[in-house]
Amino acid sequence: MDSPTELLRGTLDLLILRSLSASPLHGLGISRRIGYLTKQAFDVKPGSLFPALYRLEERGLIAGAWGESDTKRRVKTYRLTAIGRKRLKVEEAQWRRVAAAMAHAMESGS
Amino acid sequence: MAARRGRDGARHGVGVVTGPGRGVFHWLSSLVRNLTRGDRSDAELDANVQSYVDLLTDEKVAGGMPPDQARRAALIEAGGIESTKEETRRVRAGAWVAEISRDVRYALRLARHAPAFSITAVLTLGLGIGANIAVFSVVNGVLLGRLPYDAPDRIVKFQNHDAQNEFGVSERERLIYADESSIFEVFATYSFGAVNMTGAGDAERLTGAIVDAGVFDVIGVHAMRGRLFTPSDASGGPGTVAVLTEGFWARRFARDESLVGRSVTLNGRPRTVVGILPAGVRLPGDFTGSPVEVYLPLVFSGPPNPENIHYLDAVARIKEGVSLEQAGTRLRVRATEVRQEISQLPETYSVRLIPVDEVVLGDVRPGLLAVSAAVALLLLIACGNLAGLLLARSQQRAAELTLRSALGASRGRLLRQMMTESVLLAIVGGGLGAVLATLGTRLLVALGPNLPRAEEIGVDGWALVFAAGLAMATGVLFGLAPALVQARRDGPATMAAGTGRGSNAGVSLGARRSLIAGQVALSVMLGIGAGLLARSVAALAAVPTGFDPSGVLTMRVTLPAASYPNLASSRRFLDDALRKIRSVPGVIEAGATTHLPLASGMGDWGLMIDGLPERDENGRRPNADWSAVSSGYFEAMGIRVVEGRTYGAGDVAGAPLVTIISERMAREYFPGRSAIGRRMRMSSTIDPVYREIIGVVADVHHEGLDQPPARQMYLPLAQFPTGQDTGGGTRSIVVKSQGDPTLPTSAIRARLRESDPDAPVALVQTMREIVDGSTSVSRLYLVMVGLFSGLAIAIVSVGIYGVASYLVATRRRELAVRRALGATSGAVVRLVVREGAMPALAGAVVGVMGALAMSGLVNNLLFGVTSRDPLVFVLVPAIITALAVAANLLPARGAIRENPTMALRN
Repeated sequence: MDSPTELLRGTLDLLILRSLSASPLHGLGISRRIGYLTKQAFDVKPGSLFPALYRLEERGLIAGAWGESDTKRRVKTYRLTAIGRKRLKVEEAQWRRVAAAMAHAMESGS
Repeated sequence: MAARRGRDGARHGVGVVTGPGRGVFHWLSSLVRNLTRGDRSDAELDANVQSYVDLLTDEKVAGGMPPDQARRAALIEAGGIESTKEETRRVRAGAWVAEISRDVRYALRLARHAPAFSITAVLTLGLGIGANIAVFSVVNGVLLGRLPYDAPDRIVKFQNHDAQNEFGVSERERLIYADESSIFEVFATYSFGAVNMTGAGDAERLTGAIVDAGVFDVIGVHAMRGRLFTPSDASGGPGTVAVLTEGFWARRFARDESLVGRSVTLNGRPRTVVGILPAGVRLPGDFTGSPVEVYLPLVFSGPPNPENIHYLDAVARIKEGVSLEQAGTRLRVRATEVRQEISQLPETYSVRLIPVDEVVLGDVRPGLLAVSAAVALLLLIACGNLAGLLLARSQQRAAELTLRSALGASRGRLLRQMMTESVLLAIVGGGLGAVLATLGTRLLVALGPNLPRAEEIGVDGWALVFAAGLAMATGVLFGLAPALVQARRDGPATMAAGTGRGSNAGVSLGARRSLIAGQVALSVMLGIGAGLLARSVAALAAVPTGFDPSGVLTMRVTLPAASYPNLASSRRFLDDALRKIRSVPGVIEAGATTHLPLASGMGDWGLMIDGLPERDENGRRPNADWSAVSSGYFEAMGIRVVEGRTYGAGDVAGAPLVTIISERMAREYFPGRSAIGRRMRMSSTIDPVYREIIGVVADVHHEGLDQPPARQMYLPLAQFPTGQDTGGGTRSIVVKSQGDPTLPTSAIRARLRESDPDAPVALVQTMREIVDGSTSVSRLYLVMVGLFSGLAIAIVSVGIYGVASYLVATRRRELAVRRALGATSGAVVRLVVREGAMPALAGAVVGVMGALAMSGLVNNLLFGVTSRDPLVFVLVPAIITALAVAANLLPARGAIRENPTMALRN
């Protein structure tokens, strides 16, 4: 897990799915997009990113395809699959519930 | 692609597959893809990670950084690329399979690039493992395999003996001991002998056993067809029966199911086949030589033979709940009583019970154990060599491994990689070993035809399991050591040291030197073992046999009792046949005997000799081994006449009764006097007449070249026996020819057919073959241990050469400096050789000490040489040390051939 903030287990997968919900991205793009989405709270390094990408791809949640980048480099671009989109919805709903519950737990006086 | 199509099919066909189900399917198809296209998915991952770094670099360049700096910054930001790939591969489906297969592919690539190393390692291991499986197969078949008996631990051989000799059981004793129901569950006797089969096809001489019905109960077997004998079969009479073995049933009758109940003619008498005994059933004593094919019931008509002749073997099954010791003790008490009952028994008569596996395996066990030890030494040497090779190799690869570890490969990863390499070597070596073992086992069985249960020897499942275990253990053990040495290294230091010229090289060199010393020590031990065996075989070959085997052909002729009912008819046949054989061109002399030297044991008979007391102070009668021979026998065999004469045409029935004795018998019974003209007779009713000694001949080895010749007497076939007029029997014919004794074989056979077309002729062999055959076991051990030590020395020489080459290569600069500063070529060679030869010398010293310590192991395999023979103990280490020096000389000469300035510049 990368600093500055330790990623919760399973969070990285959700973030990757979320980062791809708008448009397909390559590896570095996903990393940058997660940084942007989390206001730079998470800086995902290749050491965590690539294992997660390959794991998600093998589960069929995302699909990669080789193409060309804007800078004319051969890159692998990932997109959400139908299963991935469905999973993102489920996970999102679940996350919201957990987050709300956690927020409530943290805010209520002890 | 197939997997992808399958996935599409699933989507269209089913359509309702839920998320998790799909996920499983994806995972499966990924697994297939990863496993089938491992290389491509590796390359894909490489490209993917690489593109990440490239994009990052582009980003920084676009931000205004110079390209070089941008690249470095990108690499730093990305972190360990190797470990990223490693981590990613690990999350993949079937990652471990892919990882192993990648390691294997990498190892194979490395192996291809270092053929000398790979071939040496695989050959070393293959030879070591192959020799071990071959010997394991033999030991497994002969020693570890179960005897074909039911509960063999309760089966014993019943052995009569006195202070000096072991002897068989008599008919009277048989009846006495069979009644000992408090000791034995079953007691049974048997006797081996030849059985002639006539009538159905060619006349054939079979090995037979005449047995009590209880024998089969002792060993615990049942008939596979029909029945075995019952006590009522022993009554004799017209309803005589026979049991055939499965092997004979198949060989002679093609497994004819209608055979049981039919009649066959055995020994000239019709007998009903009542049953078939399954293959593999053998009586103690039937494990070597040609197996018994026909069983006949022991039939006793009338009271036991009063002569108390000890012609039966006995086995027994000890009663349940009685230990071997208890049985032995009770039996010894009983034996003292039996001694009182039967006056002919010697004063020191007693009985011992020998566990049946001792009887079957006792003779070969020490030899096989020694050979096993030898082959284990060979494997140790091979392993030592392998460890040396792997160590040298890890040395050469130090830089590569350091680089990989700097790039983020974990220590465990590198260890696993190196283990994969050595295990791979072990597997290939083990496979080669299995092939070599299959060939080697055949060779061993061919060389050692007299091993018990030789037909059960083969490379079986257990042997292969043994091989696989051996290969794995070797691979893991000897791959692990160098890998650990390597992994313990301080990475950057090794890198700085370049290609292994740093201080670590010294540590590893020391390890390799110790390995060399150890290997030399082990091969000196093996070599000494081989040397001692070689001296033994030479000593055996040098034993004077007492006869001259050159130019002598032998064959066995069996006279069916049906055609030769009395002595006169048998003698007529033999006289006629010998006369015809003598007329064959090239034949010098021909004779016949009842007992051929080194081919059949002689009978032992008590004697009465004029002028000698009936019994000596130990209560033993004078006695001698006996055989009966025709005229011409001593001449054909080249047996030296010491005194008097041999048999001539006048020594026939009706003429004065005569006999000939051996030198030892003359010396012991007629010390200081001439034996000629003395009179003696057998104590048996077979030949109850006094005979005059007319000749003394040289002692002949009958029992084996390693046994001293017994007292021997030769009765004339033309006059013996006088006590009974039974015909039939077996005669060995010996024919002395000029030159090659086998040349007149067909002419001799033709003459025998002229005399009697029905007389079966068997065992046609030269006397030389018989003599060689009698030492075949010793020679087998020599061949095996000799082969192993030869291999060991070859392996060690390669190892020493390798170390010396390595040493020279790492010291090229130093040696060049020395020469540039004026050291002569000779001085440089001496330096290299001295350093290389030192560990070998140390090893030789240790090996000599080890051989001295282990001399007990070979002691009882040796003949005519002590287990500390000085010649062997000096010569073998000297030869091996000389080889070690030679193996150092080659690389040393390579060093001085190189131009010093070139070496320094490089």
